[in-house]
Amino acid sequence: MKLKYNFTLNEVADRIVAVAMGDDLQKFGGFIKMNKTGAYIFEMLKNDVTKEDIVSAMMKDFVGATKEEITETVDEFITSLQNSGVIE
Amino acid sequence: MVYSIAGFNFEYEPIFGFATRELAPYASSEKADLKIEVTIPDMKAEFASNPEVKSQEVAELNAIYRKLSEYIPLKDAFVLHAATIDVDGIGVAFTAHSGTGKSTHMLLWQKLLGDRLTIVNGDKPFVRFLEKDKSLLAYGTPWNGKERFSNNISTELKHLCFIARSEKNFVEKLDKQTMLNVILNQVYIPKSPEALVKTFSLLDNLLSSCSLWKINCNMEIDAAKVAYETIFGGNNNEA
Repeated sequence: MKLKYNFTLNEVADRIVAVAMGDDLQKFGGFIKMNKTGAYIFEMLKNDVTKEDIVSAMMKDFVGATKEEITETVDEFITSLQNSGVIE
Repeated sequence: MVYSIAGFNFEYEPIFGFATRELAPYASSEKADLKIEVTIPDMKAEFASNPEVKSQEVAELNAIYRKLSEYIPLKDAFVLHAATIDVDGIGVAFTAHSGTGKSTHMLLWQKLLGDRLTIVNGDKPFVRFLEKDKSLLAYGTPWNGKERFSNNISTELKHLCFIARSEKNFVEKLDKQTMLNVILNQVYIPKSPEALVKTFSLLDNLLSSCSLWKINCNMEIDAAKVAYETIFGGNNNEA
């Protein structure tokens, strides 16, 4: 799975806001707000990846978090992105 | 013809009388930094993007706005959809969801404060960050809403307020994240990726530099009194 549109990630007010770029802004005019963990997952979704790919990468970079915690975080975040209609 | 809006000097030849009149307060003898041209495709794009645009005259003025809005972020400025006033030299911006009554509230402040208040812009001021003294200035522009409230002046923005309708009048401080949620829809988002990134950086600056307030209010004069006294009086009414 991957993101449907080209996004920039912008740090504003201690949050990260994803906005579609250029012509994609006409297609998706919303803003997606997330924290740094969400931004990590979001960046990965710029390429075609599976949930397992994301969980594996996070297991290496998020030392101290269990596989269950990471899987839950990834599931929740991807569900919210799917609900926003930005995942294909 | 050279015009200067928010310190941006541009050369433009108006096509219709409407643009000529609306731009007139901004005529300038300064040297232009850029040249703007509005073409038929530009005006067609305005008709296509906004059903409220019903005449070529309005489409022309909107097209100029579009071109400037895309340009200014590269020069540390952006468009904020907020009714903006100057009170005793201090800038206050009122933002709200459409139809809430930013202009109504602004006019109540005017009724309350008389000459101490000057309207900067009733609709779309340009907000510019000046590096030299790290200040954020809001400027009058010809894009000033249905009632056409604006003046060719600037004010240093110190207070950013979100207005919500309420039976009782009270004012709360807002945290940055809550204000971010409401203000995102009130900022012009440019198409160019570079200008878009700059706009968010300026927005972050706005949220850090201003005191942030939520004004819960009705349409009585007391609404302005409570809001003014809380914001200027140093009374932090926390809900």
